[in-house]
Amino acid sequence: FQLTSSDTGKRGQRRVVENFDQDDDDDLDQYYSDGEFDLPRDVTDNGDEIDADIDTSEVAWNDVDGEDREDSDDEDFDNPEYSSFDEVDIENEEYRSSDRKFSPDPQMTITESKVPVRSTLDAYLGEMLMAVGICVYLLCFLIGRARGERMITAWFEANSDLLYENFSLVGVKDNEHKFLKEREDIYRLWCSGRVGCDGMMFEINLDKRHDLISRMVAIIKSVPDKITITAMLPKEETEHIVFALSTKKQLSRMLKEYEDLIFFASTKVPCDRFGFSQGVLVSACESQEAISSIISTQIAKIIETHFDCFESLHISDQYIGTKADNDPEVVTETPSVTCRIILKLNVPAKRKSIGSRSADMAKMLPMTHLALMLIDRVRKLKLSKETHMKTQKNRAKFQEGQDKKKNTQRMEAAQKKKEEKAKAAHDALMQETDPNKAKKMEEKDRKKQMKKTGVQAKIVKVK
Amino acid sequence: MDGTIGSDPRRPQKVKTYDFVKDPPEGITSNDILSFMGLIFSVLGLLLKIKYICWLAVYCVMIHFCNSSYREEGKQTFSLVM
Repeated sequence: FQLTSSDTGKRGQRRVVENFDQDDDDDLDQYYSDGEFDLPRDVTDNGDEIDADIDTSEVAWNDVDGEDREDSDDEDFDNPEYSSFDEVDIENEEYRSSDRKFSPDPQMTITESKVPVRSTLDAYLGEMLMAVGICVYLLCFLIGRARGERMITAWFEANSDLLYENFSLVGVKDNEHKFLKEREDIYRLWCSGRVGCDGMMFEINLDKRHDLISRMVAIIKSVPDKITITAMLPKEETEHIVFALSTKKQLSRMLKEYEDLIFFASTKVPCDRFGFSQGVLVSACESQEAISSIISTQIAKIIETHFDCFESLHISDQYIGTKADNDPEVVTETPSVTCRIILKLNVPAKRKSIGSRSADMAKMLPMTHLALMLIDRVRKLKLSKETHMKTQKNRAKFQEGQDKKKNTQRMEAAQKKKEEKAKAAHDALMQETDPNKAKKMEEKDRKKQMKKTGVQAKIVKVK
Repeated sequence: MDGTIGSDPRRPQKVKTYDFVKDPPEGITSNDILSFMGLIFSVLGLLLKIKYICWLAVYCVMIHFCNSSYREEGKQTFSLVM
């Protein structure tokens, strides 16, 4: 690296640059900071020097008192001289055309930066809302479940004395809760050990108070709490009876659903004769003789006075369930025939919007009495010989129909099996790669076919 | 109103224990639909990485769990929670 200061005077910076070796930065810095180096001056062709028209006092140079250039800049900012600079509007037309003099006191204003910093509240607002929703749902779940349990205990306290008087087993053995909790809104109580009754099932379907969505739906369309009392009667002690009692609308629906009503209870009988008020209830039965012996004045009176609780009554010794229950695609076994008394009740509520309360549940005691009275009436029922003969024929026909159904289902199942077998054999044959094996399989099939057809041929000859 | 016969109607020797009466098949209930939706939302949430779909799946599973029957096997609910 060669640098000769004497050269700079005549030829100016350009010659110095020629000898300068670019790679060596440190030496250059050293060279500049020695202070020997004169300010670069423009030199005309004939060697006269031209002083640059720069007011050096305005521009801060790096080597003032040997300090680093940047520091001096900062200090000068505070220098009062700078404060008088006017803010320059660059786009202004006058500014461009004028001789662009710097104003002596620049006004540098530092404005606050508006960088959008998102607070944690904004960032996690969605999550918080979702979490609040979950807490509200769980709170509603706990409150609704507690209310449901209070209603069940209220019903049990009102009915327990009567049940213990009539049944030797109330609730499932060794279960102090007595009730079997099927779901948060379905409770079952089983009672057994009584004359004329194998057992009695109380199923209480409460309104879904624990589910927030159902609560919202209930505001629009309220659903009452339902109690279904099902008494299982012993077959040998029960006379031939198929009988249904309900309002018109409900009865027509029942006549379409229940298979035993469809087959046996073809005749509709208005119930005015049995002490019911005009046209409120309608019954369908197999023999009218049975109705008059079952529906006594006492029973009719209970039903009339608690008409808002009563929904439907179904007594049958040929009960096999509804059509939906016996859908052949869903249920393969044939339904068993049982003797049952099914009493469907609604728990009345003072105001539909609020729904029923524990006090309303306690008022259902007379309906339990009604169920027990019906058991005794059915047990004492004795038909005359003619009606008995007639009902006997009906049952024989009904049994035939059930057997036919059984056979067709069995044949369909066997047919399905055969088809699956044939399909599996065919698939195996198609996938077989070894030609010899494939031939053997084909021969086997042909022999089977021959056997089937061959046997028939022999029969023809013997004739 | 007395629903009983004069003498004691109870017959301890005729007691029958409760054998879960084979309930007729209920068909597709609203609870089944909820569990199916929970499954779909959870898979979609994972694939598309959309936060709010995952929250919907959490809601479906919670509502299904609160309305499920006690006799239902816990496996289905456990697999849904997973």
